[in-house]
Amino acid sequence: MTDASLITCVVQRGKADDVVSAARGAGVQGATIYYGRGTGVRERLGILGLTVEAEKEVITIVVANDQLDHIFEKIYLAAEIDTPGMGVMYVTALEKLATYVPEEILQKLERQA
Amino acid sequence: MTMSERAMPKLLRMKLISAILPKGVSHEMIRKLREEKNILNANMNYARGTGKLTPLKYREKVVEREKEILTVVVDEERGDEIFEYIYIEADINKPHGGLIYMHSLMQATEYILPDLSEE
Repeated sequence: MTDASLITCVVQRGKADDVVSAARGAGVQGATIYYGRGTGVRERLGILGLTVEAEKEVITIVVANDQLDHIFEKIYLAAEIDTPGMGVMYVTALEKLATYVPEEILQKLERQA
Repeated sequence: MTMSERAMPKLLRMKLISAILPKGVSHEMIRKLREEKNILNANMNYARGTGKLTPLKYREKVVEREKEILTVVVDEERGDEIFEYIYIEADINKPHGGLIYMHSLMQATEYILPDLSEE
């Protein structure tokens, strides 16, 4: 498969499920969530840094390029990325992508083509 | 080596291959990459995967499963070869086999193993 991109979203721990729900509502089939720890907030903000959870959840979602902007916006709003400290997200272009495609979906695509 | 003798090495253009695999597959895959393809640097971490069931009539049901993320950085020339190798050997082309993708890295350092010949 080609014409796909990877959206990566880093949010505070506990927020990933909300983000994935919003992404699924936008048409995403699946997501991968793993954990990380953020540094820098405590050093910069001092005591105020306690309001930002250092433990993070990293969500990665593969999307088709024609749906990228729409899904990116949905995730952006659900994760409240525009609020300081809530997280960061970015897009990586994928050169190659492969997975198992069920026979019934392959036949449906062939009929549409 | 003193600080003055250290210098940034030449950074390489490489490919990053990431495979989202079912639990229990990565260790064997890492062994095969080392023994059959001479890949000496591969990383594995755990993740939580959410997805939809495969049969169309169950598409609205969401399942969560534990996944293993295998990441391998390879030379640009070997990207396609290793991509196809992992796709076949890890059974990604079978139902619930997972997903694999690849993208370019603009700059990457080479992973060099320490020399233990004196021991």
